[in-house]
Amino acid sequence: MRHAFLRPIVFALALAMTACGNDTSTTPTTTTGPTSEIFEGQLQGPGGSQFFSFTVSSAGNASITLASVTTAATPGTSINVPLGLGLGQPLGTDCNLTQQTTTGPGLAPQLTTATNLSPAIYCVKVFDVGNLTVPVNFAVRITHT
Amino acid sequence: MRFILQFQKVSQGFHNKGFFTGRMTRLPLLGLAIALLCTACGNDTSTPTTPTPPPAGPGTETMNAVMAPGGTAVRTFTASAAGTVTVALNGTSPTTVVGLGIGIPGGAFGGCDMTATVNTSGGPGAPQITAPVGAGDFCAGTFDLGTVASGGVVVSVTIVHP
Repeated sequence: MRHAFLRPIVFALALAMTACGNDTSTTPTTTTGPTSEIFEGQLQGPGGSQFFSFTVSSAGNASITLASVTTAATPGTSINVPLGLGLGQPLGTDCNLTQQTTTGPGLAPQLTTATNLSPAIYCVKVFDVGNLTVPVNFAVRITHT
Repeated sequence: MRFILQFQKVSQGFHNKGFFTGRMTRLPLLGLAIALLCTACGNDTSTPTTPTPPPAGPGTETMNAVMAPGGTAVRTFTASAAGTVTVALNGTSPTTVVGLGIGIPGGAFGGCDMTATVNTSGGPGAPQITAPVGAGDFCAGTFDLGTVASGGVVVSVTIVHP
């Protein structure tokens, strides 16, 4: 008798629990903005070059800043040596440049894409334009979508 | 469907035992189920967390630090827009010529890849560095040129940024 009375209550509880088993949590919406990447390396001397590949995930502009050039001899002390700075797409074992400039280090972008880049893999290349006599360390900031 | 059948079976059980009879007795049970359902589900308030963006300029950052021999004293800051940044070494104690620089956060000397540097002991002539910048994260500070004594040197640096 007592058992029979409990059954509907158990059923009601089961129904309530079943109904609540499907709560979907809301994921916060995040707005994705431009991404910054740092490309650091060393040019060994005359004729040296290095490139760095990055992925553009959505159409947008990119800006490239040659931010630092220093020598190993005086760590921390910047030197104002103009270097080649270019943007392109990887081709074989090199970076096929579509835009380039010669610039010394600065904190404002020296290279900005004229049009939006389509989603793809691109590369930034730093190279000697005939000014290097000793190895130099460099740092480049790449901001892209 | 299974629930409906189970409910009917339960109801039949009550009838057979004579405990409840008629539709009126089923209604309170149904009401109880609905009430439980509403009570259990009425309080699911999940509040999405909105990401908080890092604070950004314009502003003035002041750093007072003791720099050890061979060391650096660097501070990072964010420029909210393109503009001009000034970096001033207000003074050193004891008076010592050190490197003062501005750059971007990175893996180089003291975590700051230097863009422009000067050698100075601070004081008159400040700000010693004025640089145009784009919006973004930067760093500025001092580094030892091999002149800092074993007791270190106190440096006072002021950075004004957009």
